[in-house]
Amino acid sequence: MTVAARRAVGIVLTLGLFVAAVTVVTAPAVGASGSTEATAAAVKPYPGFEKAYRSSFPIPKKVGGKTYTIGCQNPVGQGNETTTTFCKGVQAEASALGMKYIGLDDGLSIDKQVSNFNQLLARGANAIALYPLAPNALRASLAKAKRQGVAVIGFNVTFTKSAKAPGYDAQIWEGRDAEAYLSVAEMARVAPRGKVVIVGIGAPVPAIKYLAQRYRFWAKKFGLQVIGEQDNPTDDIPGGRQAMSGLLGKYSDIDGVLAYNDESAVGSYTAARSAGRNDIKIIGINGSSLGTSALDAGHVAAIIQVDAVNQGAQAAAGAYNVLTKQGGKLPLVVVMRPKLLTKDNLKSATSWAQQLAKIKGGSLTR
Amino acid sequence: MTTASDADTASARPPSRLGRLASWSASNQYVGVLLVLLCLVIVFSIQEPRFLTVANIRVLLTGIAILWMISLGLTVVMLTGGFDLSLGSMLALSGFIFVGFYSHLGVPALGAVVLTVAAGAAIGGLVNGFLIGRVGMPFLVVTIGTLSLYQGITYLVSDGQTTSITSSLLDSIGFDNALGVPITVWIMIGTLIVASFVLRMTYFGRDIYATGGNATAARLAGVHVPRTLMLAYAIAGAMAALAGVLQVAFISAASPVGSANVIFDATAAVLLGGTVLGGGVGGVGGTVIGVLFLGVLQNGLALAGIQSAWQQVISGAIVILAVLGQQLQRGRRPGDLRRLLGRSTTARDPA
Repeated sequence: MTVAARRAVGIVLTLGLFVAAVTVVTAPAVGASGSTEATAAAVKPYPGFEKAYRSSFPIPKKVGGKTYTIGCQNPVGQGNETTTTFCKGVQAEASALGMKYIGLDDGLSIDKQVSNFNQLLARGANAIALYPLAPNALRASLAKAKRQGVAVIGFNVTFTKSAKAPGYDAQIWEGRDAEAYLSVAEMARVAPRGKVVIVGIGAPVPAIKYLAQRYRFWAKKFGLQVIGEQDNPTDDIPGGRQAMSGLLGKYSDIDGVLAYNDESAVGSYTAARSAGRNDIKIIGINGSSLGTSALDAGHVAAIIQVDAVNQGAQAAAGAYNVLTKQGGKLPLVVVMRPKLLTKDNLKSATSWAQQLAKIKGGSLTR
Repeated sequence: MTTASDADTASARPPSRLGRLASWSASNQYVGVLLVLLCLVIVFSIQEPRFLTVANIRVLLTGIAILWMISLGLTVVMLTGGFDLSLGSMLALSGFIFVGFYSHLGVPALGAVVLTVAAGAAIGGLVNGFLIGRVGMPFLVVTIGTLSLYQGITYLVSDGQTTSITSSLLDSIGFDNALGVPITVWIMIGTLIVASFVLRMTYFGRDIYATGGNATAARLAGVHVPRTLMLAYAIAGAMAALAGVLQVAFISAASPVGSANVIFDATAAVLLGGTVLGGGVGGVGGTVIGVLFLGVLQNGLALAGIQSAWQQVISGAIVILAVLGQQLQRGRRPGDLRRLLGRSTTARDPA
């Protein structure tokens, strides 16, 4: 074989055989695992302390005259659908109220969040909506905003029974306790008295650590046995898979998984199915397109969908109330009610995209 | 692998069994890591009886499939003396390329898989490969740029939304077995065999080593360096696309969120496997040892129920120690340790 011929063989093999490797082995197809069951009885409404709070600021009326500007800081960035939807909600509602909108990404960086906040102040924003990554880091900037008369609405600044958030005009909770309750109540329905594991977050995020505590609290009430907990170290699907792999190796009798987000739920599913455990019920939180597609495919038993659009819309509405002095003093906190999505109600549930379209049509808060 | 120096020694005096073992160990930089890997397997097996069960091994192996693909592609690029930071973004983008072929154009699943991998190769070769190989731009600058470029395109194409995909072929690739072994694992083995063959048995493979060892000398020896570089980045792109297809197979959906950490894990795996950052030394055999090392470590620590923060601390420390051990193995002189510790500034004897 000549040199040129051998070189050509090398090139062809390199590109061709990598592709061919995929097709070397195929096997008969199997159907998707049917991990979702028909909803026999509805889960009772959430009975906990968050129920005492209002679910909406006073609905503002659009006022003519001055045009206000609102900024929304996405704590993560475009890669996180849930937090991106918060800001889309702010933008849609702001647009419906005739406000200008500025969107900035904090990229999970505390420094960048402070710098973006100060940038919004410098650009003359009249209101700012943000999900604080480290509340204390913003103290000086919040004081500056107060001096400039800028309305500041926070997402999930606190999440326990304390609703006070110094420096903020008001805050919006996504209902962490209700999320835990709905997850556990549905788990108790699909896996009564079952043995469950928790997939939590590896990073030191107090709200998610609190969620794990509430899972345990409600599990006790519903007669579920929490046999183990493992963190998702990377907050993504591979991390969820890694956490679940450890749990599957340690416990052979897992009936259900309570996962703090959609990525962890999907990662848990891939690990469980790889281990031949198609029977494990998995419930995640967020309700992004990843979670709802997993629910639709039967990979998870349920998803607790956060009301991400309304969180954003309420932030814009609350800020507009403050700026136009409507509706009196804002309540310290409003709580958005998360929804339980199962395969039964998935088709009839309003998606985030549909909610956004409603706001643009002016029909959500007015 | 037998080196030229081994052959010279052999002609002078027949080596002892120990001597042969020592020269094999010296020419295979991953031997130390392999030994540590075996120790890890023994320790985890004793500590946690479930570690060596079929179910856990199945989870472990399929769990490293994506890292395996990315690491093999990265190895080829690193052998040329380059690097590709954009592979994680390419992984996410390729999921939507598959969606384009399969869902929008109606291409059958198998055809869509082949076209997606081909598209990954084309993008890798014609963007990264062209800019680095032909234009001569620094690989870090180019791949930092394409990391962001591919990520942005993925968000634009997907509108930040996950797209569901129903395909019995992909479901089989993700979760079925052939001869009792997951199909994913067969694909992993297939890619390893092909990559080993190409790197060891073809002129193109030798061109890659020659380019990484000394690009100028390679050029003078008749190697077409720009084309070699373009093909190396094409291979990396193809492997990232294959990893993307596997991700789609595992979750029955294309997600715009790739794994940001995969490139760091892949880098660690390649370095653990003995491929050096400067290029010209290493191979895919060592890389798979590195991938298995990381997989076993992560699985074993998770199995032991160790807190994820401690898992990160332990993983990081073990990877550093393993690479340090490798450097010492490569040097094999006490002076190397002194030099590493900063006690001597004497330059190492290149011989």
